[in-house]
Order: sequence, then C-alpha cells, then structure tokens
Amino acid sequence: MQIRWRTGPPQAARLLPLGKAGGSGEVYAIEGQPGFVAKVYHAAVRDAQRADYANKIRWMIHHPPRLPPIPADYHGIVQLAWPVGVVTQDSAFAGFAMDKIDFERTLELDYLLTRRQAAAEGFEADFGKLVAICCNLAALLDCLHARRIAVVDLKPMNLKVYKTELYVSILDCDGFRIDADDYVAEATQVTPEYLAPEFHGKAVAQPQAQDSFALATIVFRLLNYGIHPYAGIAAGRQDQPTELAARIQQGLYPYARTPSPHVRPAPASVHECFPDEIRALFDRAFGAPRAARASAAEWVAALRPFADPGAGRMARCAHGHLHFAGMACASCRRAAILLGHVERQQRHAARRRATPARALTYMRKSLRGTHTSPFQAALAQAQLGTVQLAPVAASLRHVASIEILWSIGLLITYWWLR
Amino acid sequence: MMRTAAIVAVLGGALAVAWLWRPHGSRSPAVRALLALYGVLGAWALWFGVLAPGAREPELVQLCKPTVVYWALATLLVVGPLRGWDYPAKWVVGTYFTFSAREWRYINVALAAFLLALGGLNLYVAFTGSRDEWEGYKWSCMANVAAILLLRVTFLWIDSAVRLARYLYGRVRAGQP
Repeated sequence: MQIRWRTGPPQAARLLPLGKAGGSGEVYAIEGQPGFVAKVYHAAVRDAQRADYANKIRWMIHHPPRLPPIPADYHGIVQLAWPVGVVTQDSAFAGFAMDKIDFERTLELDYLLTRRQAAAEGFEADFGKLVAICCNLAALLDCLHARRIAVVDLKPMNLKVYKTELYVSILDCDGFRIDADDYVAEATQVTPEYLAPEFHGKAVAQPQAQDSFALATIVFRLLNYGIHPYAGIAAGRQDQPTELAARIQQGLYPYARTPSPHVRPAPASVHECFPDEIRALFDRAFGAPRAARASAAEWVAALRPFADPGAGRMARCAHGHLHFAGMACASCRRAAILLGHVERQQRHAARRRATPARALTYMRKSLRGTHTSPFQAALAQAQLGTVQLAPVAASLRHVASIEILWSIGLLITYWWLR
Repeated sequence: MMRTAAIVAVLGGALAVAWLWRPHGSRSPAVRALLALYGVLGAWALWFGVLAPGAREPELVQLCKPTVVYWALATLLVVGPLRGWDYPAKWVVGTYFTFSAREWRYINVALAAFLLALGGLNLYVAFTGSRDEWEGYKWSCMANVAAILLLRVTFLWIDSAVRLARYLYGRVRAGQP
C-alpha cells in the first residue's frame, strides 16, 4: 500500500487491521503514523462507485473546511474524520487516510441518549454539558454548510463526543454531500428516524434543510432523555403508526407549545422545562411550515448563551442539578415522573397481593353480616335508598324453577346469536 | 354424540326440575310471551344448529339476528303494558326489587328504548361497517346477555345462597335435623 498525503511524495505504508468495518470499507491503523488511520474500500465496491469515491476523496483532501476554533489547551481534538491522504494499491485508488479519533477520550453520542449508559462509559451527563455538546455540533455543521457541504446522514451513531472537552466528531465524511462550484457529489445514505418528512421516499433535494432537521432531532433527544420528537401517545381513538419514520411523515409531533389534538407527549418527557427560545426552534423544525426550519447558525446563536457558564443562563436547583434558569428543573421533574411510576407499580403489586385475603374477608363479613363500611353495610342489608330487595316470599323450589328457566332462556339466546 | 347426549340430559333434567318445582297459580301473560319468545329462538337454533346442520341461514338473516332479539324484547316491553299485562321489565330485571308501579313504568320504558337503540345500532353496524366490526358488535350483544345473568347472580343467587346457608347453620346450632 502507498499513501499520497496532500503534500510530498507517496509513502509506502503498512496497514494493520483494527477490526472495524462498515458498509463500504474497513478501517486500519497505519504503522508509524499513530495520529492517522486508513479506510480501505471493500473489494466488492463496483468500479464506477470506486471512481466516484476517488474523485470525491481527492477533492476533499484539497478543500478542507474551516472548523470551529478550539482552545489552545485542548490537544488532539479531531472534529471531522476528513480525508488527508489517498491510499493506493498497485497505483489504483484503494481508500483514504484520515485523522485518528481517540476512542478512549470519546464516546458515541448514542450513549448520551440514556444517562445510565453514559455513566457506564464514564460520562456524568448534566444539562450544562449536553447543551454545550449540542452547541458544538451545531457550530461544526454551520462551518460545513458555509462551504456548501452537508452531512445528510446525520445521526447519533455517526457522532463521537469528547468526554472532557465536549467537542463533537463527525465520522463517515466520505458520505457527505458536496455542492462546490467545481465539484458536486451526491449523498445517498439516509436514516429514516432522522430524515425530514419532505424527503421520505424521495431524494434529499435540500441537504442543508435535512441537516437542520436531523440536528434538531438530535438536540431534542439529547435534552429530553432520548425521547424522539415524534414519539408520543395517540390522543384519540384513531390508530397511529408505531414506526418513527411513518410518524415523521404524518407530522405527529406532540411537544409543540400549542398542543396537538392528535397526539400527546410521552409521559416521561421534560420538554416543558426547556426555555421558550429553544422550544420555538423545535416547533419550527418539527411543525409547519417546513420552510421556517432553523439553520445550524440559528441553533448556535440560541444555544451559545446556555453553553457559556459565565452567561448565567443555567442555574442549580436545591438538589444540585443544573437546569435552564427561570425554568423548572428537568432532572427533578424526570426523577419525580419515574418515582411516581415506581410508586404506582408498587401500590398495584401490593393491592394484587392483598386481593385474595380481602376477598376472603369480604365473604366472611357477608356471611356474618358484619360489614363495617357504611356502603358495604347498606349493600349487605340491601338498604340503598329507595332500591330495596323484597323478601323472597316464594319457596326456594319456586325460585329455583324460575331461575332455571331464566338460565335456559339466556343460553338459548346465546346459542341463537352465535 | 356423547357430548350431545350429555347436553340433552343436563338440559332435559333442568327443564324437568323447573317444571316440577314451577310456581302454581296464574302466571303473567308477560312471562308466557317471554317463554314463547325463547321457545321460538330455541327451535330456530335447534333447527340450524342440530337438526339441519347442512342448512345455512341467509347472510341477511345472520346480520339481523341481534336486532331480532333486541326488537322482539322491546316489542314485548312496549306491547305488554298497553294490553294490560304486568310490566315485562319486572321479569327481565327481577321481581325481587321493590319499586312502585310508577318506577316500574319508567324502568320498562327506559329498557325498551335501550333495546330499540341497540337493535338499530346493530343494523347500522351491519350495513355500514366491516364484517369484523359487526362480529365485534355481535359479541357485545352476547356480553349483554351475560350481564343479565350476572345481574341475577349478584342480586338473587348469592343472596339466596347466603340466606340458605344462614338458615341451615341456625338449624344445626339449634340441634334440629
């Protein structure tokens, strides 16, 4: 294998398997180059596709985007797995080299959607950190959009988060959509759960609008404990699809400031604890009209004050949780919802355990005529207002005869209806 | 075959007991009409269910069956008082409740209106809804039948069983055989 870096002559390179393979290729370590890794496309990739990749990678190597600035004391932060060299085999294009993202310092953004999973990965999530992550992701997207580059298949699995510095890395850059003056490359890969409603079943005609939708979805999920903006409960009797893709298409967004008549929020949602300016952006992203969807730059402007610890837009509650200043604490709200749910479950279990004993007691009291509750006593003595049971004047035989006839009559009706 | 014989034996035995223990004296025409209605329904079910197993009721008849039951009962409830019979609702709900004649009249009218509405609803569901929806509605009719049985079980059978148990317990305590 040879690697041709952006400058300088080609270098011979030995690639070492890392055991990480994707749909289009496999990632290798490069011997003697600890700061880089190489992606080599699978042999099964068709020649035409391989040629497209080659053109795209060569353009990308010579047109790196300007990324958001990183403080000088943060070292080794890679915000994009952007190609920096072409990998060739026998002079033929085989793949590309890119900056290595340190997997020890990062975790997949997907893990942040579940607090317990994030904690297991060594990341104690709070709303301050989450807002900072959202803001950094939006800033990164804004830089790409400024160069008319779009991610399109933007989803948590393609994103890595630096646990300490809270910067975000985007993987799979070779799948980006590029719309430069001298070069255009399409992006064909999409994920339905993050795909804007107008692009379901169609090509993504406005890739930046798609990115804005996916960004809003990721921000919503990060701030709302992983709840997808289109997850909810049907408000009426009409059936609603359970798949998120179909719910997106039908616009079943229940977290708007004006409640939807068709769908109710998930009970565990804390969206009411978000500040109005952020909720307004969510409503623009998921509600109509679609043209009003906020851009990445608008998200940066909205999130920056909350991500800046000196701006005073975040406050601590009595329990020490960080929350949006002036709003109810989302962490406390979430804990109360979950606690209420657990308590209800415990009460139900206790009631279920006590049911046989209570039934026996009731029977015993009925037989002895010793009910203590006024209602039960009235029921036992059949003195409910004006409704009274008449004493059975007829003999037991006569009563039995009538009831046998009744039962047979009902059986006949049942049989006849069947 | 054995199953049919067992069913016939149980039903025949129950009918025989009911006949032997029947209350003597004059019976309300409403009761006779009710028994006649059950007789017709029973004969009909017997014919299509047992005696002529190959025969099939027309589709229209099947769809109208719940309406026939509801409207036949409603007719009985409406016609009975007009002809000077007792209120048939007394026999449907149970003669063991103490209500004034005026209250029985209201109950009778309310029950008739309810049954008329249910019969009409069946026609609506049968001719505007899908077959599955109509099947669901038919099952709800059967649930209504079960509800009448439950009403009687709750207010009469349990009460009678408790009274009988207490009576027998008292006799045993008093040393009587």
